[in-house]
Amino acid sequence: MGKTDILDGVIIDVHSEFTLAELCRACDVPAEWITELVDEGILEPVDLSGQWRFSGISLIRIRKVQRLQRDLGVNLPGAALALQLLDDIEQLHGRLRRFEIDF
Amino acid sequence: MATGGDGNVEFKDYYQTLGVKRDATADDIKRAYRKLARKYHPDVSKEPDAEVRFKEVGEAYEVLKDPEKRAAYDQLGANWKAGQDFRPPPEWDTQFDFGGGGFTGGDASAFSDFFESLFGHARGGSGQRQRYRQYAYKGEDQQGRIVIDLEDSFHGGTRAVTLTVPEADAYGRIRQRQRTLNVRIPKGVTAGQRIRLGKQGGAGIGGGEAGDLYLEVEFKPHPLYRVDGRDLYLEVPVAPWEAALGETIKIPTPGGPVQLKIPAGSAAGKKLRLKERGLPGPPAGDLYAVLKIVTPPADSDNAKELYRKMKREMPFDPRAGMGGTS
Repeated sequence: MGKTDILDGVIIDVHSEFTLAELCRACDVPAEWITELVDEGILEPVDLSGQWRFSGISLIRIRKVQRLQRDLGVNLPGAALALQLLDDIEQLHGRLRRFEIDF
Repeated sequence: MATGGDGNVEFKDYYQTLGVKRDATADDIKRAYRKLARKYHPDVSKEPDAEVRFKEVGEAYEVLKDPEKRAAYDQLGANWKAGQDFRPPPEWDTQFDFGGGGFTGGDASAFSDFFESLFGHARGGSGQRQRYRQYAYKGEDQQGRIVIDLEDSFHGGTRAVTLTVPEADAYGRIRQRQRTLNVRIPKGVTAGQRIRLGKQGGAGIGGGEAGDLYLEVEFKPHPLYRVDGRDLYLEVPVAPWEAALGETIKIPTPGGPVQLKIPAGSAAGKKLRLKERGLPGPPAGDLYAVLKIVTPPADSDNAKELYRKMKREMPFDPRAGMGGTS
């Protein structure tokens, strides 16, 4: 590939949406495993007349769970706890950035 | 850094990496590894070199947890220092046979040349089954980081990112390669978001398609604005009379200067919201001007006299709320 090629990316965020099938395909995982993540509260799909809709963030969270499980040997509830704490830290960082201005 | 190819490689002190003594028990080693793995896990750690440290720790553990590899490593002797030029002893290959791979976990593709000079090359991916069956596998997704200016998100633009990616050569050996990509920055992207670049990750196996590359967005600190999601915060210095009497002033925004009306009686720290003047949406962020009252220096007789006049004529106790002062 030449250096002058410019790559176009897609922002993965709350505005992109996946069905269960699309999410399985994107992450190469079985639907049963995704269901376990939902049961554990790691993923929170919207229920549209019996069909789940996952936000783009789900993709990021699935990758994180996979890496945490592979690298640290945590089980699903452990990964859920880690993700929860990481979310909390991220929120606190946001508040810190907002308040930094006052000091 | 270790050099590639047949050049010299640097000795790695795996005991030092894990922070354990040479006579540490298997349990000690496991505990030390677990602790460091949690500390430097790239998903958990905020340390800038987390990824590199995590890989080093993983490599050290790969050797020290395996009695066979550890014994071989120990045979090199305790006199080696980290970073020294290293060549395996001449009879090494016949003494130990690690040629068959047999890597037990972790991301073997990231191991160093030093590791490979001792224990052979890790094969692509987590692999045995991938090589022996006729299936096509999608390549691994890869992660990276892209550091951009606030203005890149505001106006859009392109940025070059350089990534170190593992790549399999014709023999299936893994080499680290520097790769530079020019990436278009989508307008309105915020810190912490990922940009997915389809099929720019690891190569597929057996004709499978390449994995995707995910770039986590990070903003360089900006001299004027602080960023929270798509909202921007701008500290605006004002004179006491501007805050007290009200005034229309000019302030910068990423989209160009605008007029800001300061209402009369504004206190220090007051936030004035300029709707949708933050990073572009949907929905667009807001820009908050945070007032900072700056007092003029009393550096002339005239200025001092004005301060004295205020002191005489304005009944004002800034510590009224503290009780019992005065």
